[in-house]
Amino acid sequence: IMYRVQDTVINKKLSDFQFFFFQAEDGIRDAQESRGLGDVYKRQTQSTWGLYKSEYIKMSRRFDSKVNSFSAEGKLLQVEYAVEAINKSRPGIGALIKDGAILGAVKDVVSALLERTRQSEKIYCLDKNIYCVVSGVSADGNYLIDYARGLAQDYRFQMREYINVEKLVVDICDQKQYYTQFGGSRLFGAAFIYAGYDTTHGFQLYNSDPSGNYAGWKATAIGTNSIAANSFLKDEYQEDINLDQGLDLVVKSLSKTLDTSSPSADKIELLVLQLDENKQVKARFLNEKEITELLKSCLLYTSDAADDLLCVDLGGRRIIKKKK
Amino acid sequence: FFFFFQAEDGIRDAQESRGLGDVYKRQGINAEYMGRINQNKILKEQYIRKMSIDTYNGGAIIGMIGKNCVALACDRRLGVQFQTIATNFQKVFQMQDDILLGLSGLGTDIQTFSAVMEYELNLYNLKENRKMKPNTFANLVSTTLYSKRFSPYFVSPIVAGLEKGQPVLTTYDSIGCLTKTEEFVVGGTAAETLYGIAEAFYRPNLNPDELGEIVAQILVSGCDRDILSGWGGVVYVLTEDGLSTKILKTKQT
Repeated sequence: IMYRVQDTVINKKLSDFQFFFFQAEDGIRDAQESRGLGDVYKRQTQSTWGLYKSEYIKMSRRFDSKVNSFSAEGKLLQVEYAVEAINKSRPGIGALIKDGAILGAVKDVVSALLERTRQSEKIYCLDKNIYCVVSGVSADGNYLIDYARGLAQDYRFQMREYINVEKLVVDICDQKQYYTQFGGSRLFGAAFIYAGYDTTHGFQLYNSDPSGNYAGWKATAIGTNSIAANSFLKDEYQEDINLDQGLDLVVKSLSKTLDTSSPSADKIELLVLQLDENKQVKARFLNEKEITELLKSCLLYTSDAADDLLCVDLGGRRIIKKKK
Repeated sequence: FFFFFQAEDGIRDAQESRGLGDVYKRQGINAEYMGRINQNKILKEQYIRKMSIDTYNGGAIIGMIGKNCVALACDRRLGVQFQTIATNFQKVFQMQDDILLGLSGLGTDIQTFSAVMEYELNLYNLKENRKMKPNTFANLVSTTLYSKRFSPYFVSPIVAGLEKGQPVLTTYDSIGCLTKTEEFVVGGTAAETLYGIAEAFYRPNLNPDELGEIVAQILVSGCDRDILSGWGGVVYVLTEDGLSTKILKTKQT
């Protein structure tokens, strides 16, 4: 069929479209929706044989521009590109502690001109029992957050109780997956770390990426330098740590992701989730003073090279000994 | 019944049955009586008024403004016409620190409407990242009721709140007509009795303790005279310091 199309295309440009239409009109075949491949044929102005060969090669590379097609190597390239976009975005981190969870994030831009309009730039409430950190395209993240908030309230309206954490994560992931397969639109360029509480599984931590995949974690990091942060967490994380140990771990891990060796409190956001005396989830953002205090011990952890040293010389200004 | 005849008379569009047909089915012995009533329009109207969907479950609520405070009280009965089913039925809901929503009318609509308002309020809090002002909430109740103009929630809400220390008290019909008041409002099957007693006992600028006491007295007296209300009461008094809740023990009838 491809060969036949070649024939008609060379001689009469318009008739390749007519080819499909006639089949539909003849009743042989149902009308097919245009798969957006029309431009493949537009560029065929040269000789038949050479054209066929080069077009074939060109078409296989064109697979990566269509979200809902597999590449010749069996990959969904758009999904991989979207995940790559996350790896270039501002970091986010989460960790479970003995009686709660901690979420941390690095803010996008710290400028004297910025007017703060919301309590948090990167950490959002989905319902009273679930919070999330978003990394990636903020606008995409905001859309999904609003979508998730609506879902959580729908559930609450129907069941008269808070939605389970994993259920909400799955619902969000279903939405993300939808756009990797249908619609012809691009993926959501947003990844999340979710921290929440329900009576079924207690405190839980999940992450989701643009593909719609998700996983449960004890501690995890996303965004820039997440590999360094995750390997630090893998070495240092222990179960049943208390709040102070957890905060220490999270802040150190965040410091590892930063480009600077002197992280400042205005670049970092931290949220603590625990239960109050009535077994209700209470969420608390740390203020700048508390974060500054936590950062004092982190100067040493801002580069992998410093891990092995017992003390660090900050260029003659001072020498800090690690407490271990 | 009321609604079907109105449809036949062409006054109003036919309403879908709300599944309350069995209200009439159990009246085997009155079948002939009903037959005679159906033929007489005046008799029909008198009979029908007692079977209204607004009075099916019974109830009483009252709201009153005091000095920098507001009170909202309700009875605790849930009935199926004259039979009492429950004596702990919630009719006042604390929507926010400074907003109370009291509902009288059809029991199932009390539950659903309060859930609808909670839904709206939660999404507002999350999306706008702020609390809802009591006056805004009062308006939202009105517009939400009106959005169901042609298949309404059979409730008569009262919103009581404190906005910047100033009391807010509003009441509505079941399709959203908002009335703001500076004194008191009443609702439910005991409304007519409550009006009279409240009118006699109301004074402006009562302090929170006095307000709670007076509202409790009015509620209890009103419910005593209404067979469809009572079986205990709950009085909520909202001040800038917070909400106080008192449960009243009344005659168990």
